[in-house]
Amino acid sequence: MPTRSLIKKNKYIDSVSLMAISTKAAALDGVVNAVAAMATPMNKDVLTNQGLMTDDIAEATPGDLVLIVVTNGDEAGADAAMNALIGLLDRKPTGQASEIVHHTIAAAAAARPDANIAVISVNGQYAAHEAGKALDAGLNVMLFSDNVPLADEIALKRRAHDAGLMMMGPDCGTAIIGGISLCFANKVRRGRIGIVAASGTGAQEMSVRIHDFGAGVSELIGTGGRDLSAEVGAIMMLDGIAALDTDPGTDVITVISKPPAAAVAEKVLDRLAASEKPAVACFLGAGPELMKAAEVRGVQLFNRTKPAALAAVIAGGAREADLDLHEINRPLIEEVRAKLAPEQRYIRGLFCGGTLCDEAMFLALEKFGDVYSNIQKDPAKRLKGSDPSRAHTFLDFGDDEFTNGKPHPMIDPSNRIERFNAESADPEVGVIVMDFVLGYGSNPDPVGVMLPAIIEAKGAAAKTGRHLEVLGYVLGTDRDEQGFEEQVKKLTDAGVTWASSSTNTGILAREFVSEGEDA
Amino acid sequence: MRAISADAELLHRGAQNLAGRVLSVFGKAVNIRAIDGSLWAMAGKTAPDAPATIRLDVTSLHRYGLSAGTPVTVCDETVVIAACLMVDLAAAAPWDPSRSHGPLDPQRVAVADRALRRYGIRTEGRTDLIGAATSARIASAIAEIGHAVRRQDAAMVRAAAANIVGLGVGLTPSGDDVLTGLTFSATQLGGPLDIVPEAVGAVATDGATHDLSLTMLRAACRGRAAQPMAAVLAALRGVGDVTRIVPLMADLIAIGHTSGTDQAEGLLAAVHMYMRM
Repeated sequence: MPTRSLIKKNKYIDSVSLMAISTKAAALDGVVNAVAAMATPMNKDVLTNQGLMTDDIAEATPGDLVLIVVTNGDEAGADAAMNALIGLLDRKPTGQASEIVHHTIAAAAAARPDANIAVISVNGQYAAHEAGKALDAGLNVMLFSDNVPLADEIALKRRAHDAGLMMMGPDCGTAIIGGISLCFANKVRRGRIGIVAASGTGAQEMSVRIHDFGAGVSELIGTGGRDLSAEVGAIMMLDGIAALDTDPGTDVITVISKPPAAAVAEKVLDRLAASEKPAVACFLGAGPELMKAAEVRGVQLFNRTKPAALAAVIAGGAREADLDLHEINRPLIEEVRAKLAPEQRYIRGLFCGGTLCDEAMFLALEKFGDVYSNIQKDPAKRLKGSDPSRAHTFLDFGDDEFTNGKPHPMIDPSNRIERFNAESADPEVGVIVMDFVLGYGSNPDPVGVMLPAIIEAKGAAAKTGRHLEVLGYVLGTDRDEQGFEEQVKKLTDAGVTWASSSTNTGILAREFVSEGEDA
Repeated sequence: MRAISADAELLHRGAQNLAGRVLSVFGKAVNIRAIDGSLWAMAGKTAPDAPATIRLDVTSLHRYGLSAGTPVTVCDETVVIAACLMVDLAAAAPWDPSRSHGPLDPQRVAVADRALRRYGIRTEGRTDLIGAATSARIASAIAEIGHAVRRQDAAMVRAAAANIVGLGVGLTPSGDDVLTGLTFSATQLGGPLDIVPEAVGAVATDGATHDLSLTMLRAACRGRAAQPMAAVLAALRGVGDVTRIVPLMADLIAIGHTSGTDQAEGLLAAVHMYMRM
């Protein structure tokens, strides 16, 4: 078989790139096998046994890189394969900025025929048009833009479905495809649990919890927040589940969504039940009827994120006894209750992440009736962002009302700081709850930017003899660039109580201001 | 730029002996060849403490525009890399790998075994011609070393190690990573494994493998390896809560691409050899 080899003297390439080059080269047309390895004596011994030794390889030293392609075509094909392998080697490593700017999707697609996904973030009124052009170019689409008309979303998703492509979004902020994080995503371990998510921070929370339990994520497919509405009918979520079903890198399928339309939820459960792979669903706020619907289909359904992530990890082969479950700290609850005055009865949740806000709100609703929010389904309990807080109030600062003309609160915290200052002065406040989201795209120091306000407010409260309880949740992993441990330490050093997950955050918040032991 | 911590052995050599040239630049680490030919590295703060490594208070080293061949000079306790980067070593905390003691807990070892099987990168990178030969040879070498330890036959350990040193894909070949895990664990566990470090040291000769691998392997022979390895060993000997074992194994597996998995494989091989005695 025509074979080509080449020595690159003193060539240092990290292992990830070396292995990626080997894998990509082996997938080239006509290539039977490809090698990209250091020329150590033992590797040369293997090559000798395979009949691939040449004089050049024999003279190479352990600091040199050996490239080999074995092909099943003609000599010209072998030359082309080696040139392609060299091309892979010389490509700019990932992680460094590209200097090439393409002005249209069509031009970018033409220049990078190996690309298979377009990430689109333009003003909502142009977004559907650009997404359509990307689909025309045969690209899967992640559409970050929001404010895209519902009719356009349905049309785009149907078109993508018919073409066998993914239409992630609109308003899709998080995805991890082939190990590459797109937009807002955390740095999590690769593994064998696939996620399809109709909520951005829900997707982040699931992936982070799975990482924290020691497992990893194969693919994280976003759908956009409206996908499970009655109108859209979960077109993308069903396609995402189907993709994971056939993905050899995925052993367990997990889906997460804010409360879906009932009929659509059942459609998703039916699809999960039809999969031969273990499936776990998390529909926040799911009531008894939906839980029953899942049970009769044999699908594990949860209405909290942490138990859902745990179930997925266990379905993947982990043993619960081996894991740190981060159980609720009951002595802490008693300690905080003892510090609060009788009038300090209410939770004020100030969230960047919509799903984190939802989960904390649903957990509060399990105990309290007077729960208000700008994302409440019940119109009687819905607040505008500018309304003063009432009783237990949960605000999602990522909602359109706050982000219109301003960056997302994960980047720009000014709205939340302003609201925090107001809430911290309210004598009826028992606990202020905040999330701090790490990962790609987020503020480089999300805790740091809130810290002066927290320290000042706690100091002011102390001067009046009042305890100001602040509960903070850092959504991130030990691999995120912001430094997970540093962010947590900044919080705890400032006297903030740290919660270890979104679920624990909601439980702690409601227990701090209630009585009894049913946490 | 402040150095957060540094290998105590490296600091002990004296800052002036760190001068040399940049050998290679990666996102997480910059490798430098000192004038005496030895290698050392600068890494970002998310990297673990490791032999011959100085950790800096940054997350990525890409943005400093460093490139191979750039001169590295030293003035007092400041390392200067061209005009790109000045690293102040004065506040760097000296790091030595923690030593653990006490018996191995079989239940904890079983948890670590499961974690490696479940989360280790088992097939990626071992699929090409060299990779395919690697797994079988490594398995065979581990079995031979186990047999040699039972017989207390240092020559047999040396022969088995020689069969896998420098073997495999990646910048630090898999065989070297397995030997690193096995040897470092042998220095900590001692007893019947005392014959391993010297035997492996005897095959870690110039030209046997890549220089980066040699630096790592020789450090392991002196009882020095990346901190996650020491942390896992300590946990297997009863330090901390049992639920910490899976995340500690995950930290170890996260080293490099397949390096962490291979080092964990070597570590657990040593642990099983010790327990069987």
